[in-house]
Amino acid sequence: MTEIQVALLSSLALMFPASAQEPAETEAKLEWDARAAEHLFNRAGFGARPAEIRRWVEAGPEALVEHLLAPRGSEPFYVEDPEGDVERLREMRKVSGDERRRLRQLARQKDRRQYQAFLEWWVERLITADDPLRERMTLFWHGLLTSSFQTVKRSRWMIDQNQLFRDNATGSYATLLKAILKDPAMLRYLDNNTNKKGKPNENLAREVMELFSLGEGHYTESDVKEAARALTGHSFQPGGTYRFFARRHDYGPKDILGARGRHDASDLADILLAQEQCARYIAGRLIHYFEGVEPEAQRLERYAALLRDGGYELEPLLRTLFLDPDFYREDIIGARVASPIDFLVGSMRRLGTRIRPQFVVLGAAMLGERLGDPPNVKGWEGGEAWISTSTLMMRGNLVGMVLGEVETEDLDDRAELELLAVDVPDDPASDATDEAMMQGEPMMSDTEQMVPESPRSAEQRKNSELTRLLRGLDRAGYRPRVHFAFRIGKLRLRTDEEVVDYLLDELLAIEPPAETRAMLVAHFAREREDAGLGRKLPRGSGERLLRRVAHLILSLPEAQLH
Amino acid sequence: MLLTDRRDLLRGGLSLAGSLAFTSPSALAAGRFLGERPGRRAVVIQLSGGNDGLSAVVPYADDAYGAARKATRVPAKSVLRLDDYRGLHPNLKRMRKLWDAGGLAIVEGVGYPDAPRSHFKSLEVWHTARADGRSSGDGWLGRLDASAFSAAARSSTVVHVGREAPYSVYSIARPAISLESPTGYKWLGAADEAVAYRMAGERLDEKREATSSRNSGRDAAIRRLRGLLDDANESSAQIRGAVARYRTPVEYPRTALGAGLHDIAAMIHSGLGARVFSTTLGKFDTHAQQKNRHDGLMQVLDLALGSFVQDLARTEAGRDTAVIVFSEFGRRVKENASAGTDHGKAGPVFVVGAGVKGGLYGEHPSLTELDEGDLAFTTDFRSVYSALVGDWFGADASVVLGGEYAGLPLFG
Repeated sequence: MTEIQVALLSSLALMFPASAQEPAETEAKLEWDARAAEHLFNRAGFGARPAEIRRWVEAGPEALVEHLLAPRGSEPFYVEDPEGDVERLREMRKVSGDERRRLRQLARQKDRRQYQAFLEWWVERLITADDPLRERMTLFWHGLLTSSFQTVKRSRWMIDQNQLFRDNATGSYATLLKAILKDPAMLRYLDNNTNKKGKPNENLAREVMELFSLGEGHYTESDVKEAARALTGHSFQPGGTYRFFARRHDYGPKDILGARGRHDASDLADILLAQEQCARYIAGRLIHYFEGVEPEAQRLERYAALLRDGGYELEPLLRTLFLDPDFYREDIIGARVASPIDFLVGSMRRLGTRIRPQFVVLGAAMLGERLGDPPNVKGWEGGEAWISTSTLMMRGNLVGMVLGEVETEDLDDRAELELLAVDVPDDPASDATDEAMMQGEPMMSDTEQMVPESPRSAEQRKNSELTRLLRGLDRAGYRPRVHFAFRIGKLRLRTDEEVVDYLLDELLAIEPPAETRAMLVAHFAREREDAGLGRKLPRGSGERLLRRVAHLILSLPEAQLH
Repeated sequence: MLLTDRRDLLRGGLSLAGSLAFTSPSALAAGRFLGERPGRRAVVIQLSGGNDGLSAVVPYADDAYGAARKATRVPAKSVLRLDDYRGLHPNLKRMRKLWDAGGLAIVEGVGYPDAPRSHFKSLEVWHTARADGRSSGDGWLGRLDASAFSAAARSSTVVHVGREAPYSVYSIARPAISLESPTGYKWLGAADEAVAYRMAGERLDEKREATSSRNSGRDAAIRRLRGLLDDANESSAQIRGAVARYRTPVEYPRTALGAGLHDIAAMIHSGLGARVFSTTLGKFDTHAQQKNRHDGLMQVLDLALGSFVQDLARTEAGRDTAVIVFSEFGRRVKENASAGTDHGKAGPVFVVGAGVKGGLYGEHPSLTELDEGDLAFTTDFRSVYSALVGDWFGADASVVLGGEYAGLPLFG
């Protein structure tokens, strides 16, 4: 086309904006196909397999969105309170100091184990995905209204907070905001138990405004100070339930965001909810979470209004968003880096294999997403920050373990070190450290590491974490429950192209570029011929080849997107 | 041509590792860097959470210090005195020795205008050197790499050792190398697949530019990830080789910081092309029961940094390395009711190395004339950055920092 023709065409488009060739943006329609349905599953849930996607392409977008939003009423985790129990023991006062310490230590152990069990329960829910949107939103709230087990140190509080998120996942943000200001885990995490009249601790007040409701720049330092006063006395009992300590509360008048009064915690929530910025901030966080990019200003205003006018009910916003053609834009579909949980859970689901949930808990932690322990009160950075040169390779290694392609001997650096004529240390990590990790001890901090370890063990921890993961799988007698050769034989796939296309369709959350497919077809054909295999792939060597190629596919950049 | 060479190098694996590093010989030969000083390196240590500067460089003789601090006070008699006003925390013994040897610079009252007391906002400012924080673009070390080292090195010359890389090393165009442990820093696939894995990073789409706008977002993301995969493969071989070969008579403490600095020393001595290293020490957010924890952290810092500096002093490459230790803010002058301290503003920065002119810089902030209860900053942190970028590396500080900041005369 010449430049003149282009100019002519674009001026025509300007004159006739609604012409058939250039539909106006307002008339944009949701193009519902497998790619769109998979996108919705990726972002609103944790991925889906091709067969599931095909079903929902037929049923249509409205049906899928209603299916996602429908309440399931599933059973919560049954939680005990070992630490609280031991504190409440009457006998505690009578026993000796040593005995008291012993009882507390036992309770702490029990508490940590309960937390591990809870994390596994949580991950199992993600993998089975019976209620995917609720779990997705629970994860969202966990990353927004953050608390960390490492600081809170009481499993029951963290589990209760998680259930609060799950119960209100798609309900009302107003309810959540009010509840979180009286949530023991949050009060502990942000030190509000030490926030007293005359000696305020501003931590919770500041984060509530900066991260939980308004965003930086929409309040003043004075608002933070006054809000901290409103929050004085909101704390918890030693046993662990929320309690308002009237004597610690500052009953004086406060000026918060222009509202004057003798405010307390729920007044503060009301003041925040009345801010126009609040709905904008929450809508923006939600859209960014689901789309991976900041929403354009006008669109954000529409969603903010939807939230505000609906009394902060989340369901209408989610329904609108998931049916919004803009949610399916070309710069959004397949363009976001999957979080470690998305990558591992999604891979598990797409492979159709089962593995101990603990593997996913620990694996995601190694990749930077430690469930229940966000890096700081801002939650996880997300997006491209999930991937470094290190975690990119690590993702491939973890999925290699799932496929049985990475084994203990692969982790042994000895051969390599010998090659380099290096002295080989006896054992990189002592069994004691290993056992401690197995018990789900939180990572040791630098201050706690003053006890001697073998010199290089701190540095080799990541490697030993991998070793431990593999040992765990070995002990449980893990075998990958995939049989690619059978699946491919059943579908009568014969050519190298058909086999590679099948694997790509099954394993990736996105459509791969043509060049990736071409590279893999060439690789597969070469490997198949080198192994002396025909078109029909036998169970032994054929299956091994398929698994190696699956491992490669899931290690590629294409597998890190969704 | 370069691509083919590198592919051979990668196929050769560890036998060639570390010999060529990230530096392409042609760019070095061209010598386009008149001002840049090729042998020089820097290490930036972040004390995350807000180090209580008043407990690190203690104004023991200031009455206002004793008045504001009770539970968190460092007793005057235990302080390692620097003069009749201030002294180092008693656990900073090796740093005190460095001070005597003239290798420790202490910059006092470091901060910036309108400091918010938020960890994140403040870290963003420190990480980008800009008041706008992340919205202004890449981190300052990422920008340093892009503006000063990009012509001589094909990929990033910045390496972060530790769990999560700070935003300072962030760069869209040249993502930093980031690793927690060198030994686990590799892809564990079968040999044939490993070849394909390496090829997959080699920017397939350069040959066949993506055409469909239907997948514009996906294609842009894949392009970036392929670059990262390429860097991963290349740096994996080099870094593992460098650390495995490293021999030093210096003993490092058995902490994560000690191990991290050991590995950085290995990379510095390996002839790897990396120019800037980053690592962190956390848990400085001492809102409650500060004293014991902070004492411990000072010891962890002192032992690891002491070993590192001793190790660096042995060699020319080591002596050509400058170390900066910073924290996102100091803490409130008056302690809180929980025997801790809340977020504050100004704090000290340490600069260490054989090329450093030891002594005091900046000005100690007043403990009575406060900025909203906090130490008012006397010295902009960018005057430290500017010295490093301009004087140490011979690069253009205004480009990296987005403004003109006079550098402190920290380097000899």
